[in-house]
Amino acid sequence: MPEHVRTAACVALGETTFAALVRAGEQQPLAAIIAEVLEARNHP
Amino acid sequence: MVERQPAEYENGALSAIFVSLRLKAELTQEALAGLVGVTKRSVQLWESGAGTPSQQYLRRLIAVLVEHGVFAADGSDAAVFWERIRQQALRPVPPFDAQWFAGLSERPALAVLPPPSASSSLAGSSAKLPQPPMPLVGREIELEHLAALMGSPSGRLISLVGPGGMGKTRLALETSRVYGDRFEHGVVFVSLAVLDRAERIAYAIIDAIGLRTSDHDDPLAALVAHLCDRQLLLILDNAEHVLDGVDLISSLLYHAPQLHILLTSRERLGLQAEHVLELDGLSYPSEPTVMLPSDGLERYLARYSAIQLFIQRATIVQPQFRLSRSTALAVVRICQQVGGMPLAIELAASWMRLMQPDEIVRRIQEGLDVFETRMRDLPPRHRSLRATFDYSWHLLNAAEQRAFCRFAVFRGSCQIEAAEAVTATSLGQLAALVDKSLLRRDDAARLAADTDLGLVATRLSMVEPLREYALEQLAAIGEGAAARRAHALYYTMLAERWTMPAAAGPAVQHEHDFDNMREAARWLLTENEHTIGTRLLVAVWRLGRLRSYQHESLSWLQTILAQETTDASNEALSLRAMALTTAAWLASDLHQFAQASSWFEASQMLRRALGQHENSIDMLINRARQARYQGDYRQAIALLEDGLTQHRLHGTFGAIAHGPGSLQYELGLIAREHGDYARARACYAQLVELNRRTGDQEALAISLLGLSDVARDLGQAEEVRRLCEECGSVLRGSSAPWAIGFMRNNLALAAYSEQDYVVSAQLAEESVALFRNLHDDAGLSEVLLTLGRARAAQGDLTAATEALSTALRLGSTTGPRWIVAAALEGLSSLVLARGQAGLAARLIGAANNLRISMQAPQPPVFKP
Repeated sequence: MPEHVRTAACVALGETTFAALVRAGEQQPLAAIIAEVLEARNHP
Repeated sequence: MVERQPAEYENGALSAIFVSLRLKAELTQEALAGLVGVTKRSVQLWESGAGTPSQQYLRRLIAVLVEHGVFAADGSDAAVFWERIRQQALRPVPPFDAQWFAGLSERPALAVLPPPSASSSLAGSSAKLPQPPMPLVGREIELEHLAALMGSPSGRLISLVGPGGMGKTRLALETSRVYGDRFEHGVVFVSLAVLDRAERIAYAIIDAIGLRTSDHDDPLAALVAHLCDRQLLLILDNAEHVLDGVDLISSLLYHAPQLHILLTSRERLGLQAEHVLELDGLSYPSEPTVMLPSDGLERYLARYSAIQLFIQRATIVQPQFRLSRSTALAVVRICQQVGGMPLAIELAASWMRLMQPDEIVRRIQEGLDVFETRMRDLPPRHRSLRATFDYSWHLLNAAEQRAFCRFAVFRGSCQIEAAEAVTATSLGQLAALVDKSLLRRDDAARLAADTDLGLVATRLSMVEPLREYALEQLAAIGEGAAARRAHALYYTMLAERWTMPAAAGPAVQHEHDFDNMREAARWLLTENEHTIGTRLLVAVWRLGRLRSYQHESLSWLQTILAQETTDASNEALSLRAMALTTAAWLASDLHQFAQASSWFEASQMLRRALGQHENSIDMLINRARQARYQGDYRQAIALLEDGLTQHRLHGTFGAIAHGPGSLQYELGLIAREHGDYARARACYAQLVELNRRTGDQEALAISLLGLSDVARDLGQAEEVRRLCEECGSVLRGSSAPWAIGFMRNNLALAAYSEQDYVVSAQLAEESVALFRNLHDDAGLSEVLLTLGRARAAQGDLTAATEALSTALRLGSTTGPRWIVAAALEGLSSLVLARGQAGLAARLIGAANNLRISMQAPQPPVFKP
């Protein structure tokens, strides 16, 4: 992810929140997040 | 039906018949001459048996006889009389034309014509040339070549040589149209197609020029007298069946120093002064349709004349026809199937009134019947390919016919040595077939001979429709099985010789021989020749792998392995062990790791029973590949290092020493994905060095590709381009879609790293189309990542999301695992751009987690 996009996201969410969400993603079962992404693609 | 009484002029001396007919018409010699338009001397010659009227005067003579009530008005007498003259005339006379006769009664009564003057008149202006109904497509290079030749003093005799249907006549006519005004006295077109004797050539020329001579004149002298001071282009069309008349051509050139002769023939004349221009098919894309670009296909195809000819002809019968992507691929296939032969393309396109191009493709596969037309403005021998080829067939002697038929079992081209072995014929007979344009020296070989791959031996091939015809003849003479068996044995032995890398030669040479090997394998399996079939498949599978034929090879081997065998000899068991190992490698390539493992084990057991060396390295490589797919790089590396230890101990690389499947190659791949770029580079560099030494070109190409993967991940665009260029050069002339797909992917990423997103997306699209067509999901998922990145960088978020989601789906179901991490990273940027920062963060988290667990860091080129 380009640095400026990441920065913008951090600003939008508050840096702590973003980092927390990244950590949440790390904890989430991979199959679940793949399913979520593919589902979102089917129903954009 | 009324039975016709034989007319008196059917039999008896022709001279007496002439006298009898004139007397029945109650005409003097002088009166008859006046009515026919000849001199009295000509009538005297006919009546003395010293000559016959030419076609023009024969028509007038018959008209006179009908008008005087000597011949019946229904044409029956005239037809018999015409045929008598036709048989005996020295000048060529075409068959009786009933339509012409029917039109006689509608014309005004015959007037007395003045006798011709003794001096000859100059006819032969370009206006008399046959006018083709459609503009010529293509042949720009040939026309330029012809112009250059005709402009040189030594280019006074040019032969356009090629098989029937190649467009020789059409090119000759175009030459006269474009360059005719260079000749002060014009162009004369002489059709020799209807001649049955070489002696008639002179008269055919005399008639075409419109020279008025009598039959007692020496035709050569008359021609020389007329042509000696004229600057004229003489086109002699369809000369192959009257080649005995070459002396006349030599004499004319000798006596008429400004005369130029352009000759069309299926066979060269064999004169010293002759310049031969071999006419091949029109240009068409020779690569498999899977390798055609997906973007701008129409623009790409516009440069190929065979395609343009098809469009021109298709539009006549179906004016709304336009090239779409799906029709374009079928049209390319048609042009490939017929080797660019213009007549075949025209005949195939004429079916567009009934069928779509893909249906024409299927019909062509079924045989020659599709190549027929009812177009009445084509000469009969051009209304079907079969008629065109029949004509050549009847000009061959028995030995040449046999060699011609047997050659048809080859696919694509072959080396001369192979042709000798399979056709069971001499070099001389093969040379005769080349001279008669039934065999040709192969283009690819000619191309390679012009390059630094000069080692390529001369190859022979046959235009595809001609091959279909020869196969029909082969079946008719009952030698099909013998020829195919000889072919299969020859290629089995060649494939076995090639298992030694040093004997393999350049990649371009493999291309057509591989097609022949596939053909041989297919035949051996159909005939249940499983022993030879296994030998061939075991020897050839490595060539098939580069060309993405693993599915096909594996299904053939499975057929063989499924057979119950009672042969328990060491030889048979040893061969079975090799078949098992080969099947295992193919399954491993197709990511069927469990099946591969079971076949490797079965092979091991057999080897053990036979007391042979046990090879566990193959199994280790398969397990390492499986571990990589599952994202377990530590395990994969450990397995391969174990393999290296065994190799040091036992001194073997395993069954597959070079290219994918070797310890070094797999280690390079895994080290790179593991982020150990120095080790990856060292592995590939070692393989490049080894393959350069052994001369194994295909393995060299794959090793170079591995090096370019490393440079790509490090963002070294220049290095990627240099290595891809070298890899492409090694693979030149061979179709290796798998390698080409990954080369394009690397070049796309090189462009991406330089922020040239347009080029990057275009290359990635091409690569995606290629892997889709190959049904290679692993390759497809990798190149979709590139496409997704490039489209995202261009701001096309929809296309980027589609590409990356598909990559994610494929990566999560088939692997390899790192695709999942990379797809999640790419998608995170996209969802962030849509304002879904929370989801973006979780996607990054998931990707991070996966990379850490796999120990597969993000390549530097993608790092933010």
